[in-house]
Amino acid sequence: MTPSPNGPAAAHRRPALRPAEAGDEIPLWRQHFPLDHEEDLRRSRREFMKLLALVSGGFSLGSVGLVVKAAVAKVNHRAALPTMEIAGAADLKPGESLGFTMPDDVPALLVKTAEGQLAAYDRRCTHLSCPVLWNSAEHRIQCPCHKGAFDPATGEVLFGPPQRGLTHVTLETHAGKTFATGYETRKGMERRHDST
Amino acid sequence: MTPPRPATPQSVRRTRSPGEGIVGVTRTLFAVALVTLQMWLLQIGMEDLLSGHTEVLWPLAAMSLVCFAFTVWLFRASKA
Repeated sequence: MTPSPNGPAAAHRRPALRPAEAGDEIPLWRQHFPLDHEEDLRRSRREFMKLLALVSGGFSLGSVGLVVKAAVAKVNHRAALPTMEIAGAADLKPGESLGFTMPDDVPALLVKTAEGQLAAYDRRCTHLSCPVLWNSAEHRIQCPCHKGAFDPATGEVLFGPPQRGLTHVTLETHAGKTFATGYETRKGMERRHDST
Repeated sequence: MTPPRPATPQSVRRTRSPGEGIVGVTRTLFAVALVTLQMWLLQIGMEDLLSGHTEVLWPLAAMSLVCFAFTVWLFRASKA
């Protein structure tokens, strides 16, 4: 190897880029890395379409995952839930609520309306599953995440992003004690048919 | 006269026929619309799952897969 006329530091210096001219020999490094910096940063439409296709595949997998999750949940719920006594339900006064957990570990909310009617709901908001809270001042069930609100007597949506009412928890009362016996599925759809 | 630069993938990519740009943009916009539709379908599916309306999940998933297939077709049809 011939020594560099400007010393060892000059040997490692990058060669100055200039437009190719007639008679120029393309250096080996240029043949291996033919992209300029600007071209390297450039994204083609095809690359963008590739990204879209990948995102689309992710969304499809998510949709199929929901179907699988629903099927698994259906199998798990075939076994009837054991009846569970809700401790402290007898002490509720009108306009108060009580949080409890169902036997399948689903959080639930028991509400005593101003008229004295007991109603219980799956606590997960039907929008994005945030736990709903009882708002005693406004007398409604509210979701703190996206400001959705539900009627405490029926579980129907009052306003906000949720499109469907809360899932009802079926209740039975024996000898002054309140028991949760299961869920009333498709409650919102039944009410919709009833009202038409 | 300056001789032309050696052909690179980038210089080839820039050579397009006059109508190809509009077609490509339309394809891309259509793919964006499809992906947006899929996102909406996924959100609706989540809400239906949480509220117990599981009977609509199959059609939603099928629709999403159709959108995916169409997006892949658009990707494959796009020029390199």
